[in-house]
Amino acid sequence: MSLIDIINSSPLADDQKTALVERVEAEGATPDVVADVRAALQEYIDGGFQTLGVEVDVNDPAVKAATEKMEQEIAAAEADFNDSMADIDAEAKAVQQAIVKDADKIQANMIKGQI
Amino acid sequence: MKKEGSGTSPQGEITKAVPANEQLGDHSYYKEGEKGEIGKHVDDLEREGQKVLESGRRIYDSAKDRAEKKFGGFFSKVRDSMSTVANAIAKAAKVGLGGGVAFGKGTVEVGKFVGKEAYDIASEDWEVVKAGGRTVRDVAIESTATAVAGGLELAMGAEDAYKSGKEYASQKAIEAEKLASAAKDATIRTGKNVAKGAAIAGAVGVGGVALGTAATGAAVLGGAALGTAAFGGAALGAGYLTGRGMEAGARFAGDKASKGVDALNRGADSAVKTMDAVAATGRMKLKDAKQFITDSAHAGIDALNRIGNEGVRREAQVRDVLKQTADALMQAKGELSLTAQAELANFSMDLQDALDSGATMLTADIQAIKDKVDTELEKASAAASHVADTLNTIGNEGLKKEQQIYTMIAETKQALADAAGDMTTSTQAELTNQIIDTEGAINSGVASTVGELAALKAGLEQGIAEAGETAAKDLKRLEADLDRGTQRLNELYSDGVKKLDDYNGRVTKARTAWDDFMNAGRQAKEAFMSIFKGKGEKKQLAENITKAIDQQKELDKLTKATEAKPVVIQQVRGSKEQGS
Repeated sequence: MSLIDIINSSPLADDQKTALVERVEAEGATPDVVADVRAALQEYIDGGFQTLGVEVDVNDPAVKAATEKMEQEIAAAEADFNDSMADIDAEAKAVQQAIVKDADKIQANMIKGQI
Repeated sequence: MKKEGSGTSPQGEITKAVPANEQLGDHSYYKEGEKGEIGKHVDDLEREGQKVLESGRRIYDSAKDRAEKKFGGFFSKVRDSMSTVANAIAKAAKVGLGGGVAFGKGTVEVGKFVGKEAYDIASEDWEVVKAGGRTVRDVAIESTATAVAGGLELAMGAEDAYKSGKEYASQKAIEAEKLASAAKDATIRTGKNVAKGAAIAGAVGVGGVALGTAATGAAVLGGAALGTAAFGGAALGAGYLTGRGMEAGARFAGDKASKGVDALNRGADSAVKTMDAVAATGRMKLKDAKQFITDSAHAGIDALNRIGNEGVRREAQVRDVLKQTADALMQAKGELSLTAQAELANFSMDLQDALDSGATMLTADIQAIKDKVDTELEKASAAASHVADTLNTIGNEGLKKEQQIYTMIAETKQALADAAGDMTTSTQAELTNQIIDTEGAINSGVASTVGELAALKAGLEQGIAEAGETAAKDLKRLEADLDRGTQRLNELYSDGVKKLDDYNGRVTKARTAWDDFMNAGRQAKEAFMSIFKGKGEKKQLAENITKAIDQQKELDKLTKATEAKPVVIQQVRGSKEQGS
């Protein structure tokens, strides 16, 4: 089943379907679009369960474990992401500084050459 | 006191007074060839005793069966007690019967033996027996004296003795009954006393008879047939008394058995009543229990209502809390994701801006450097051209002047040659030398100037060439460095994008797993299926939720397929123009 088929056969509102299909047609079935479709479906599911009054016991050990696991995974992902981005940021600055330094050096040589 | 010659027999029938010897003959145990009246009476008593005994046994057995059936092990002690009592009763009945039979046979020795047996049996309560014996003895003495006084008087005395004995027996029976009652009340321990009392009751008659026999012996020693008659009378009376005693014993036995049975029955009835009472109590309790249950049910319903109301209220609170928690969680997740995305976006923007501005700056700088180099090169070139032009001009002018000089020299030489005839030789020689010097000076000056100019031009050209070459090299190296830096920045940018994708992927995966878990948990709730199936809009909504969950699973497949695609790396330079 293609992403557009999934969207069109979903219980989402028509305007939502139209917007999502347009995005798929414009951007393709990218992870972002798929994630947005999934989020829209999840929003519909959450709202539906809430309307029907079906909730999960927040004190259920399994729910607590699942929530804790999700939070740990997100926290770990965030920590890894921050570490990686810090490294990338540091290296990018170093590269940029090196290039500027080279340019300055050449310019200085040129001025010196003029003199 | 009745008149002599008439009286009432122990059987109560009116008898005619008979001589003592006839009485003896009439009342002997054995009549020649057949049993006498006493023998028959004894047989009757024995049969009656047997009947009583059998009846007692049946009563006992019946009581035992009933006791066992009704109470089983619970009344085992009672049963044992009753068994002891019944045995004692049977024993008493046997003793009484045996004593009566023995005495009925008129055997003094047997009577003594029986009396001794009774004495032995009653020895433990001898004082009671002794008192009774004394009473009986007194009665016997009295009756003996009466018998001595006259036949009927004797018989009447015997009757009195019988009455006294009867009263005594009755008294003993009452005492025994009291003892039995005590035994009944005191169960096993007093049961033994009851048996003893029963034995005593049976023995009293026998003991009394024995004493009476002793008295009779005294009367015999007193001599004469009257003594014998007295003995006979006493024997008859005592025998009757004994018979009565036996009867009393039997009655007592039967009575005690009957009382025992009655007691048992009462006990049973009491037990039944107790059970009925228990049952009634149970019924009452059942009724109370029903009422209690009803009340409890009402109370329970009220409590349930309260709990239900409380539960509804709490449920609403819990839902609010859940919603708040879920909202907070979702918001936290969203914020987290947004924060991370914003951070990356900021970083990405910063990086891109830095790259863009850096690239712009570098490009401008390099271009400026290039421009400067070009300008300088142009200036140098212009200068060189100017120098060259100047040199050319100078050279041309020099050549022109040189040509003019050479022309002027040639014209001078020609003029000199033309005027040679008119000039003296010395003048010609002087002019010739002068021309030569001038030509030499001109040649020398021109050569010097041309050489210097050429040298200057060559130097300028070399300097310009060297400067341009250095600048070109620097520019080339700078461009290479810039390309490498740009490439590295592009790689770093790609790494950042990839890290962001990884992060988003991990967050999405964790959130998806959590959503799936929550969806499964909510979907698994029986209420979800049981409440909403077949109920219009809610049913449709429940089905749509299930459908949406299924579609999410389809999306997961697409997500896995998408994850396998390579990350598109965008070029940093010019990315703004590409709209990334």
